Amino acid sequence: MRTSLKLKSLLLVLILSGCGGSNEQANVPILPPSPPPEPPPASACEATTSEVNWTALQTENCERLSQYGLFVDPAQPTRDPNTNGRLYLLTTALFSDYASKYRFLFLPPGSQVNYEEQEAFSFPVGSVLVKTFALPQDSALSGAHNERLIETRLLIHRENGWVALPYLWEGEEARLALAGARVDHQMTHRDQTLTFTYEVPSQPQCKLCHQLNEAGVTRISPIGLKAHLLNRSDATGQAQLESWLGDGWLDRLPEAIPTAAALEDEAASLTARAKGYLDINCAHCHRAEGFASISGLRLGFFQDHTQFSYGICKQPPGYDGGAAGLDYDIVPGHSGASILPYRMSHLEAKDRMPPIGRALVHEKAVDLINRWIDAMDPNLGGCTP
Amino acid sequence: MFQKHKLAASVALLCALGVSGCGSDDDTALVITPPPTEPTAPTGPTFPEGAIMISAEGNIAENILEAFINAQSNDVIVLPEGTFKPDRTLLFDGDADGDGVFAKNVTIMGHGQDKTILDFSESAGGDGIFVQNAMNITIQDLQVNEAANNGIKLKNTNGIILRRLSTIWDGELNADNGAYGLYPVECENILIEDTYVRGSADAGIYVGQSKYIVVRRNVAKENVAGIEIENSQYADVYDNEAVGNTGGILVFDLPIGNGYYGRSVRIFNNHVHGNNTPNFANASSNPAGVHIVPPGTGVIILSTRDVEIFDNVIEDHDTLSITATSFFIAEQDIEGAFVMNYALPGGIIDDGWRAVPRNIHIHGNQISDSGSAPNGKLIPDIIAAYQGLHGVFPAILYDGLGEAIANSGLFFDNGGEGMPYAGVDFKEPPFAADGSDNLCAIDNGDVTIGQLYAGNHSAADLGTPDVLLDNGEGTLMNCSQISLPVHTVTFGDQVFGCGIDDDVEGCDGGNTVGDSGEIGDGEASIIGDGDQSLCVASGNSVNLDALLGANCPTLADYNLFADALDPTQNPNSGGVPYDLTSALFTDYSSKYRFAFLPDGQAAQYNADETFDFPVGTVLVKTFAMPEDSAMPGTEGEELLETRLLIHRQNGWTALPYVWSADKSEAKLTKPGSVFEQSLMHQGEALTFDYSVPNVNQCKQCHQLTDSEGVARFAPIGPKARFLNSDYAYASGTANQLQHWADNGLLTGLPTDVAAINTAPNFGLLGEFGADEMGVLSEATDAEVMSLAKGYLDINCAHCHRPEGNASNTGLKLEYWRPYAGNEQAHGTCKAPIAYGGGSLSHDIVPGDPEASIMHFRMASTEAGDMMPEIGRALSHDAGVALINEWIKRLPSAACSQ
Repeated sequence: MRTSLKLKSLLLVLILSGCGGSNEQANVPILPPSPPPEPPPASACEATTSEVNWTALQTENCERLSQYGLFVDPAQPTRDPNTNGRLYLLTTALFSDYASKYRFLFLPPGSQVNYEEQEAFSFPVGSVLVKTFALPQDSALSGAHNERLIETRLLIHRENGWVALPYLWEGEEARLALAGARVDHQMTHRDQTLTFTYEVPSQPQCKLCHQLNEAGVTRISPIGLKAHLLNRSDATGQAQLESWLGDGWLDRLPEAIPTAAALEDEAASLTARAKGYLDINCAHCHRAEGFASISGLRLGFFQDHTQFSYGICKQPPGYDGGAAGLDYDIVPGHSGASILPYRMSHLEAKDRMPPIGRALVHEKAVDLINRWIDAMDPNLGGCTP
Repeated sequence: MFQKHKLAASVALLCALGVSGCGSDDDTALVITPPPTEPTAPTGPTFPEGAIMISAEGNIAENILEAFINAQSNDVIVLPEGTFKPDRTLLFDGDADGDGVFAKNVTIMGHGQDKTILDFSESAGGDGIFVQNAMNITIQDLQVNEAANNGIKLKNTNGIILRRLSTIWDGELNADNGAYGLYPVECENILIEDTYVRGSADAGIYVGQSKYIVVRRNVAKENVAGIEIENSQYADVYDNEAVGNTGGILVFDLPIGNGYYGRSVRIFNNHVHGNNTPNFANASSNPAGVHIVPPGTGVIILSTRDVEIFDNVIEDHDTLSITATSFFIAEQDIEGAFVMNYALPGGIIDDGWRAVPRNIHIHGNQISDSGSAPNGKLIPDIIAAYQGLHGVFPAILYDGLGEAIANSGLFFDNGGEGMPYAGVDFKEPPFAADGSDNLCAIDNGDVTIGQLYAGNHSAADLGTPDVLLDNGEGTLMNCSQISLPVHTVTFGDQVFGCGIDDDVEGCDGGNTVGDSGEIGDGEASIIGDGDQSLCVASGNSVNLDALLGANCPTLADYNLFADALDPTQNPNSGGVPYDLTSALFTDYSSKYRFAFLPDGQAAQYNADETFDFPVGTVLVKTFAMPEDSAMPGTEGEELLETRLLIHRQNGWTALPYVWSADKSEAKLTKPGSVFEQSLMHQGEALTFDYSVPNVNQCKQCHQLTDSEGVARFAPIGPKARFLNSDYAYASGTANQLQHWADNGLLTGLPTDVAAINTAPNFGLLGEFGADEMGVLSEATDAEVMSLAKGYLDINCAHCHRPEGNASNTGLKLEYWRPYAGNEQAHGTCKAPIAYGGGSLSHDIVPGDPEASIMHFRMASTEAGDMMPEIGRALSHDAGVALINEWIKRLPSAACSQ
């Protein structure tokens, strides 16, 4: 798993010490006697096949995305997964600078996903989640012609847990970019031209959001694959989870499945839309087991949104209120006095939320949250601006 | 007492290191004149062989991140010399790829505090360096500037050393500066030393929601708060300088709601002066944000309990020198906002937070030049009240409001009827009648003391403060409290703390608290070092009262031996000598073991574990170094140390005593000791450093985690399998177990002693078998297995067992666990969890000892490689030979060639 990395870093040291003016070559570190060298095993990444390269996925961090054999056309990670892969859609999504996202789930042959009521589904070892980000030239247009492939992120469920691997697209090929990258982009959004630097997360940054802490141990975990976020129609118009069940991909499906409303869903209540949005955009950190546990703010879909812990009249322990000097995460009836939309609408590192993953303000969402807060009963919680 | 020259020296050292801004301020009162004995040209950091040198070419952030992501245990990552502008946060995760294997003990270092400079003014990220989920990380010798949020932040990390760092926001002090310079949060075992922090819009050094903390020899200058210990436990802050901040040093306990609340914090030997800078934090009305700190404040205690402020020099403060206050001064709307935000059912008080400080002890501070121009937007009424009534503002001010509310019972559900605010419970019982909750301020020189509220206040008159002033009459806070313990930081096998690894005097305390709860001396059985008046030996009986009630300064105080200068024979009060069939190797030292059981009481037999000894038992082990390993016990053997394991009311306590050079006494030496030793071994003269463990190290081996996850102190050797052999008593040779049973020291011994599964005899020089004449190569496989299992048990299995300190390794080496069927638990074909392994892959490769990590680490004497990690400086050739033979003979396995 880390072998290839280890070799690489060793190599780095050797190169550096070779040119770094170290003249103590004689002083070789005393290593324990080693068994005679074996011929290096052929890397599973080198296998050529038109199928998913399960062995490589399990054992190696391949340099090139195509080595995993996930897509029929390795240069097109937005469609046509190889056998055992399928596209899936979420009801409401994390905002990533208007990037289009193409999500695929790959399950090892003969295995199944276990349904969970509120948490991410349980995936067997061998499962792979693939998400490709493409930035449009115009936020109103999507589809391959209008977009530029930026990155593909893998979450691979290996023997010892989930591993996150970011791949950066360069031409026809995506290469492993563990340190992440910064990509300049220009986009038309409504009547403006947005020029910004899109940030491809480094491997440890992936973990910032994708971690859950249980008894002091943090483990990487998927975020989006929860019942309430998957309970919608799929690309063919079928009920997505029903299809999974019908295809034997899912072990069971209860009668009643909760659903997080889409941000744009005018038919749903403001509260339903706001709660869905805050769940997928915030609750991976803002939960007791999440990265932002110390904030005390809990924004999960199943939290009671009328409570202190959901931000109602809650002072944030780790934020000074910004230049506006705001006091409470949510002041019911007063979006302008509420920290939550304030931080959503800022870009400076000090103020912005989420702290990583966006360089733009998601105006529609800010607008929704503002309307939702303004519509709240001002007597709820009892704080005033 | 505060040692001025020492502080001056440390400040001078920082200046010599070239910390920018240091000493350049005209209004600093400190005279910086290095004493002539101090070294004038400190050398820069050195880099170990194999250090990963980061290239300065290309994108520096990418170069560093690459090394962070690929880091393996024990890597040293060296950042280049020069000034760099990383374009993003430098994020380090101890387990970046999530495979559960941690990169432990990684060092991130530069070329010096003013030589490797990371300027984050153009970074897209909020923090400069951010470390999470790490184990034992060191960051040193570099500077982090102009980060948007925090200079260096660490989260969910156990074992942190931040050393010789600077975090600076230069230029005008304003709210746009980052919040914290050095910022560990939700961490354990944190050492911060010799750093310089300047310009933070919140706190320069901020330790939050953490425990086991030492902050020493730092300079915090021109921040809103110089140093802040927030919602943290077991912190020692000493030998620091806090100058030019809004407030010098803060001990805060804030209502956060995530279960972390503070207590047991000591602030001592610090120089806190001229903290008169206007408050430049962002003004939120978060009631206890740092924006409330009144400019011109030396030390503030907010809500935290068990705080000791002593031997500091606190001078030149416009407002006040020390204040202790409840949260009710920060949130004065007690019946409204306070109740709503904190006191509702399921709220933050239910979560464990308390608003009222208790047991605060302010003593021996040198306070001067206080209160000439009091100000602060939070306290204009208080200032006006004092100036109106008394014409002065006190140097030490206690609000007393929390105490008054607690004593009034207004918001306390005592289970009875008639709460005025039914259902609202602050969980603040009245202050204890014995005074143990009191706030005390004594022996602080000629200072004024103020107390806003005193006594009981009824609901009606809470709005009417008493505004009391003590002008030296001794009318207010005139009491004292028991000293808090020394707080230590455990980092691998190193222990840091006042008087533990430095030579700071006046650390006070007495008891020591470090990781794994209360460590070593006491398990809280006694307070401090107990009743020292018990430490007087007389007559010819063991001083049981002293054993149970005091950590005595000398071994002789316990009167364990007829001749106090000879702990190798003639125990008093029926103490019984014993030997083990196979023993822990300790650099060829001879060991003299005695068990003393309280009169008429017996240990309970246990087939596999250490016998269950009654309270009052003491196990005594003396270590002596022979001149030649072939002739132990003879003339010329030198007494080194005597270790006691005492079974007190609440558990076992370990006390190490070190014999003086002239062997006239053995003195209690909690921090341990190291001295040079030499001996002849197989014709070769060996010279080495012999280490006496410190009290924390005792527990490293002597701990077992019980079913509730609590690590408890436990003896190791006195188990049936090691005691089932003959001993030559004065009364004649007898089986030890039988002798104990016959003399009423042991109950439950099986009748058939011969049937007890016994670890075979194995001597220091490898003696075994009949008449100790066995030859390994001629022994049967079964004999070798049994010998090796016995050796691994007594040398390794106290840690390498499921309940031991090294349980995470998965190695299980108890004697009773059969090899067959448990091959992997013994290390066979098992990759080590936390060891790089050099070029070796498996703990044991059957048939090939040279390819086996176990064999390699036993033979090694290099820190990082050697096993056991502590307790030996030499390798045990006979033991290594035994394991070599054993591995050779193990049945071939998958990893064998």
